[in-house]
Amino acid sequence: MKTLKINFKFFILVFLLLTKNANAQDFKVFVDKTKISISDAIVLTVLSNQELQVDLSNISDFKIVSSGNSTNVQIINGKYSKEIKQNYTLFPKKVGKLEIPPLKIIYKKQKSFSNPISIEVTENQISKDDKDSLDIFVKARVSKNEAYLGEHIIYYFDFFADPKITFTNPVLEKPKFDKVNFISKDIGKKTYSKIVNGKHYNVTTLTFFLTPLKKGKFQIKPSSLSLDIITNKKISDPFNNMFNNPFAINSRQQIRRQYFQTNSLDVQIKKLPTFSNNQDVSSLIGDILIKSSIDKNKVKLGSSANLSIQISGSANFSDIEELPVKFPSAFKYYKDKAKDNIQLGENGYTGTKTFKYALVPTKAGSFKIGPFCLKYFDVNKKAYKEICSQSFDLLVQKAEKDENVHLSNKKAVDKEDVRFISKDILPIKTDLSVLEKNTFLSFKSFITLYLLPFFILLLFCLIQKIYLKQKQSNKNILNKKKKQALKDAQNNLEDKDKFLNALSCFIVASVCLQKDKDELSFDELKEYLEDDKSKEIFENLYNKINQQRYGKASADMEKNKRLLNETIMMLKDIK
Amino acid sequence: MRFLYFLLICLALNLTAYANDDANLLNQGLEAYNNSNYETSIDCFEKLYNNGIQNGKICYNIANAYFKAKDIGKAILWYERARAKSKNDPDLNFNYAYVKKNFVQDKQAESKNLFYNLMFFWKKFISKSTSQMIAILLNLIFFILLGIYLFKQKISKLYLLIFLFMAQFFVASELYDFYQEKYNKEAIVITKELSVLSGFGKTGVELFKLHAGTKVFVKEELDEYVKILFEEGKIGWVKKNYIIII
Repeated sequence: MKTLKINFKFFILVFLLLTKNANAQDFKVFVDKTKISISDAIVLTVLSNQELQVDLSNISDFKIVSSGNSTNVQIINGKYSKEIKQNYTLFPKKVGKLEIPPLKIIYKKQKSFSNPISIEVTENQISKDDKDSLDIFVKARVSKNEAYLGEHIIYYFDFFADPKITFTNPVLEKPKFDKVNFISKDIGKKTYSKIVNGKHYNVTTLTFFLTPLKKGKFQIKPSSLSLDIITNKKISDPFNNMFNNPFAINSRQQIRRQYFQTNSLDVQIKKLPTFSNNQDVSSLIGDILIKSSIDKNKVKLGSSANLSIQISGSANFSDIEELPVKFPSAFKYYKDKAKDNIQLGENGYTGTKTFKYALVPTKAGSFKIGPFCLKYFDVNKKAYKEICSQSFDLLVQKAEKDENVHLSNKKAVDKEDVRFISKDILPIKTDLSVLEKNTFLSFKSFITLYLLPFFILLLFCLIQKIYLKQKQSNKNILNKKKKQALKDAQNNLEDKDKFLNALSCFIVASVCLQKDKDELSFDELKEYLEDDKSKEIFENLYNKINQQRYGKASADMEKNKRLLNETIMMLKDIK
Repeated sequence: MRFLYFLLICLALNLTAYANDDANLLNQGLEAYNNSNYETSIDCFEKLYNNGIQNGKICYNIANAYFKAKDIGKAILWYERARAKSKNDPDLNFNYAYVKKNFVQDKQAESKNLFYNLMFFWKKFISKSTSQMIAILLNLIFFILLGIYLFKQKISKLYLLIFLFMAQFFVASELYDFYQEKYNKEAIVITKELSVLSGFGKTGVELFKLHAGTKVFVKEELDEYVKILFEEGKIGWVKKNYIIII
């Protein structure tokens, strides 16, 4: 009972604090300018949805004149809203950096305090450019100046404009992000009002989502904005002006083109720290939760149980196609296409990604499925983190009719295209064949080897030709010798020695020609004759010549003539 | 005789020393690659290449190391060199296609030489060295048969014509390759971004831009400038040191 009372008191306290806070945030205090000359004045506005009691007594640096209240009531789509502006004109009493201290604001006996506002009061008039820079300015900022590779960064382009300033033709040169260093996506824009240093501004913020691709220090270059500011002319002589330009519309207004540029920003991208066992770490970077569910706790052999594993949070979910899941060996599993519900916003990619698996048991028994763990880089803790889902007990019962159910008897599973889970190049070659030398032929070597057989053949042909020519010349000599010997024999029929010498020479030359020999002695001739008949003919002829040579009879012209004719006839029959 | 033995032993020892040096360099390169020290790995593999080990595998290793060192231009250059040396390496074809698809910024139509592909279709299946050996062997067989025919005349003219045709066909393909290497040089852009100019010197106007890993044809070389053709209608001059001939 005591605990209950304490809890109740605590609840009341929290409720009161929250209510007070809600009331405290229900008003805005701002000024129309923060830099004025001593002869100028500022308008202090307290904006709320109800009339408030404002205590201005502690403003000592300014003379205060109340400018009255204005009420603005709006009904949009049946929704009622009311705005009450309590205006006060403040005249500075001195030059320098003055301060409007925190104002006490009372509503229904509840006190709240506004923020202090500093005002710069100068002696001289404020220049137009100074005034513009106070009324309109642009700013660039990033969600973080240091990030890890793959961790997202949000780039903001803020455009601040005083609500009283009228402008037209705004041209924004969007920031150019180096495509090699970042992948950028335009998230969108939002418009809201904001009080900066006590001054009220309408703010338009453009947001870009950046994913760093390289490590190192990078500079995001400035973005720029140009617009036409419309201001009213101060007319000293309205009649003169009217006559000078009688047809001009809005001739009291003038347009000035103004240019604004943001600051450049430095971003440091760091390499992810190395993990002891790199293969187990997923490529996810962010803040992730994991949970799993199974549709049944009992399953029969051959039927399937469906398991879902869901990862949720803020991370680069599109980079993960598959979870590193392991199931007991008694199960065959078939994965379904992962479903995701991911949105891109200022917190990066947020949402869920669900991986579904159909588990088909091949053995009966009790099995533990899971837990399923995922290692990722936690950007908040700046370290690798392992998260695990719960595990399930699954009872596999034997089939009722046919206990020996084989998967092959079941309906064929839907086949899926094999897809790459992640991408990288294949490894380098490590075997010693890397050291094999190049076996290509250079152009010169190739041409040499190509023409070599041709030249060898040409050489053979030349040698053959020379050999044949040589042979032909020997034959010609023998032929000449043969003719000369026959001629000598015919001319020396009366001279025995000369006749017989010429006849021997004729016989040798004739046989040499016939047997393709360069030189033979008369005695050697017999060995080169082929058949017995030729040998017999030659022997007869040899004997007759020897009888004639060594006989005592003197030269007989008729006898010699007969011998010569016989020799010619015999040589024709010799083979 | 002793001096001859001594010389032979010295020569054998010298050769072994060279082989050991190469093996050491290879081991150093592999170890550096496995420790993600890609600059050292490139250094070792390139030394091996310069030592005369100019096969497709060493080019493939160099290309992988350059890719890991995030130098896409040189990675593509060495993959192209590897492809010129070994045609049917599936690892090489996979890595080349992966790097070209995902990291080379310029879209380029694959240049298809229909005449070459039709006439010399076997080039897709056999390596350059094999093709050269076949051409030389067929040519040798043809001349042996011609010699036999001239001196003995015991061979049919049909065989002669078949071998003549086959030998000259292979030889023609090799000569065409040599011609292509000499006069149709291809090069790879190695700098991150390369401005192609209308002329050289200060008068050149930037015509278009190319990026690391893009293949171009070298048309003309003049001092420190090269005239390149990217694809039909896209021609211009670039500085010589921004591209490397394959």
